[in-house]
Amino acid sequence: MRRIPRLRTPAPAGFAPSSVPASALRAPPVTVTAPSTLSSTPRLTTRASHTSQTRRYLSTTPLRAAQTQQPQNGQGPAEDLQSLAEDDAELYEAPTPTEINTQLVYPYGVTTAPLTAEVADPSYKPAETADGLEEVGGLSGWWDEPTHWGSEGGVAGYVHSATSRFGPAERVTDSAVLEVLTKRAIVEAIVVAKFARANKRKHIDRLFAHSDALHRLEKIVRAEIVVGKNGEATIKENADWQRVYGVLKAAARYARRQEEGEETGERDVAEAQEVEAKEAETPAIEELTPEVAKSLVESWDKGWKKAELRDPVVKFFVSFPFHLVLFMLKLLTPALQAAKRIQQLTGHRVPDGKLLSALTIDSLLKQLVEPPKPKKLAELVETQGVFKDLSNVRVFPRRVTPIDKEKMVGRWKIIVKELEKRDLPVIGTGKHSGPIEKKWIEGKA
Amino acid sequence: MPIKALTQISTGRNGVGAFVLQCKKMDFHYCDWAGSSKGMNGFIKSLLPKFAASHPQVEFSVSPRPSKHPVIIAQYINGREKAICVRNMEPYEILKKAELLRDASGEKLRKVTKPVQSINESVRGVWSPYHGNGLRV
Repeated sequence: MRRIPRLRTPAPAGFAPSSVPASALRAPPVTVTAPSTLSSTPRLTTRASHTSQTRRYLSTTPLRAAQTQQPQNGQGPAEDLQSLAEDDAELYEAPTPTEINTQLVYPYGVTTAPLTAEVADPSYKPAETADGLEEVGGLSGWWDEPTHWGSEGGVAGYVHSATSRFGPAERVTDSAVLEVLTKRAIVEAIVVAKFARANKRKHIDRLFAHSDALHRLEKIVRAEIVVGKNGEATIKENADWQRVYGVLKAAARYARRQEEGEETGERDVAEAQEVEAKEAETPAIEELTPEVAKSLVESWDKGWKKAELRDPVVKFFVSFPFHLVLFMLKLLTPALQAAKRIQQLTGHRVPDGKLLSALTIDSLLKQLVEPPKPKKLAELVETQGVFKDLSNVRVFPRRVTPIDKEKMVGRWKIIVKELEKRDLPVIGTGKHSGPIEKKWIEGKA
Repeated sequence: MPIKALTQISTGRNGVGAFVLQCKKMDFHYCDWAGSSKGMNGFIKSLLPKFAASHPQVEFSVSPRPSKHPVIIAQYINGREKAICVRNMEPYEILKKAELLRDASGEKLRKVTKPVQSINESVRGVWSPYHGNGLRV
């Protein structure tokens, strides 16, 4: 039976009860409790500096004693009555909880069902057991709901921005989708390595952080990768270089303005119009399904996979002096950029050893597309179809128990029937375990 | 053309016309985690398909037995069974053991002293005191 946990009611800013307005639960402003007419007396100024919650934990006795002494100070009786009434109202009002500055939405108040005697429906019959009753409420999935994390700029936004840098939680497994995203990663990496190589790493991180896998995907993968003069991967058209870099820069700039809270200016509007005009030529990809990815892959020339992703750090490691190697390590190479971007887009982390051994794009793709090793031998045998054509071989995914063996020969039902007829346990020893003499001594049997 | 009264449908092989393999079933047990099953897992993946294909008259069963050493259990038509633990063995060593179990008769291992074994040892039959004319002393 579900029990309702006893929750404290912190009443934060995001607290939104169904019946009581939020303003009623907030602490009243200090100006109300400390009127300017009464601020001349030292006692009232001291009280005005306290919040109502502080008052609750202080002893009220000296205050009452001070109130009785007020007529001796020469104040009027009408004014005194008014102050007394205000004091009483403050004393008996509900304690105002501390206001927490948060955007999180806390669970609502507890609702209880009416008692059986209060139910008017004559056909109502209260349940005696919890079996078959619908389960309502509970706090188990409260934080799974994104709206409970506040607005976009709050904690949820921060969590999303932090996790998106490391890629999706679940890896992309479809080979066509992986190929499309890998091409996007390589195109972006080549472009960024050319234009933003001299920039600081933080700047390059920003370029990648704000364009997700579907952001202008059709524009980026349209760029054709070809084999360069020395076998290195490069982009064929000059216009593609600028276009891809422009897409990345625009996304980063837009995100920065959003963070700074600036309104989109005329320039952004012009950029948006320009982007829309160009998008009209190529339809935007809203969802990268395996079918869409497959059609994209088929439309490309297959020669792009033969291009190499060369790592100058490795290439010049032997021949260069050490300080120059250190200098080159600071440079972001296309291969490293591509690996980093692949992790962001697909969730696949390419280990350094495999990255260095993968010279061409084709070998890199093979490592990504390769399915993970099955943990069980039975799964492997089934997927590979090792015993597919052999009718005399049976492969079991789990241990064959004595019960399984009885079931195979059709004896298990009879065994169960006979055991139940004799009031014996079907599985295990039941009450028949242990020395019977001990039970006699203990008086249990 | 001479008339044949009965057509001959089988050829006599002098008592050796049929051979029945004594092994009827083989169970291969392995563990997915333990290192002692490494060779057995490799055997099941690489060598067992060919071995099973060459013995269609034998039933093969492959099942895991977690936290136990790998073992081959062979069942014979005389109702007996033989088991061999193949822990830490290489796949080809396991293949040798599987062939050994396949070729076994299922009987207990005992020293063979006579060159010929037969369930009907004497052509003349077992002597009985209640038959025949008896011997007068």
